[in-house]
Amino acid sequence: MFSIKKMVKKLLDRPKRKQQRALSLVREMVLEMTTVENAKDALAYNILRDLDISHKDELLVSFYPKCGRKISRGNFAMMKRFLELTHPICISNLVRIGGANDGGYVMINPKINLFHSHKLLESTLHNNNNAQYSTQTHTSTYFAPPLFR
Amino acid sequence: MPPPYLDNASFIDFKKNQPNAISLGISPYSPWDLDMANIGYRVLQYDASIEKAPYKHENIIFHKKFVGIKDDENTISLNNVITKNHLDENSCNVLQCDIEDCEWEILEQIDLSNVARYFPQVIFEFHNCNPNDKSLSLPRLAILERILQYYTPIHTHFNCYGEVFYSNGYFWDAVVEVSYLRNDLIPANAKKIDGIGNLNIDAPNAKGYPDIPVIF
Repeated sequence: MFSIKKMVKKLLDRPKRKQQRALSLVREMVLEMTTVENAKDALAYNILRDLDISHKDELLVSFYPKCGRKISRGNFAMMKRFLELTHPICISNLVRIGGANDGGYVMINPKINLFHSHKLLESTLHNNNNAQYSTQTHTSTYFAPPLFR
Repeated sequence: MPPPYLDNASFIDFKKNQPNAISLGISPYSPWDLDMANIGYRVLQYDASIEKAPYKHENIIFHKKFVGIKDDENTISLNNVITKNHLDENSCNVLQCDIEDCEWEILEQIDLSNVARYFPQVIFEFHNCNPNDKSLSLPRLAILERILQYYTPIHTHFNCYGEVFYSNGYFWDAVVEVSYLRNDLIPANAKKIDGIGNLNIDAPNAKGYPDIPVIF
């Protein structure tokens, strides 16, 4: 943490143009780290699922620190119903539009003419390289059945 | 004749037919609007809570009005947004809606078939989906069910600023972002995601905190 603070201080002492370039690099780096973080969490989930240990629930929840309140125990039936009604399909050419820390603006590549692209959208877990807009295209997902199915 | 995925017609010709991105709920940081404008969409922003558009762009038009179910001094109905802006049902228009819990009132009363007619893609941020509050959530579940008559979810993401719930290996978030594609555009072989729905293109809403896994 100390070295990050020192880096930021150094950065702010630079001329404005260099500051902006450096800040955009930092932004890219943070975005990269976040992506890796998601992958790491999915792997942790898979490892935890296969371990023969008790208190898996508590361990799993502890992987996800919250910026606000703690994670609460939810009504299972209601949660399942919400999940059923928002359960997405696998589809290709998903891209995320928008900046960092702006949530889930994931959509079909907006450059695609949806009315002439049934083949393009064919359900797959692998991007077919037709997504031309974003460099962050949908390339994979991580499978892990719930711990206590 | 080449297969459709090799044909240039698979991509929008923005000069011939400019689609619209309707953005409801703007904040000083609205990068989606700016990116859509840069791609070539005409971005129509609606929000009466801010004075002016956060960005100056030739494709962005800001309206200082809320979008609701009726028309008055501060509010315009979604039907009127469609009519007044002469939306073309043959364009790949997109609707994005992040209006802090007001979405339920609109969705409850609006003719969804008319929305589906003009918007092949819609993106909603749903608020206050609290599984522990049945009286609040049951009508909201009914609305989500009604949406499925016209649209299919293609991505779901939890906004970690919402209250997060856990039970039996599943998470849920009171604030959830769902992207939909109109049912007639869904590939015939489409299958639902099994397992974790988080993608490596997702971005957590809060810096420094990992995304909550969306498990199906």
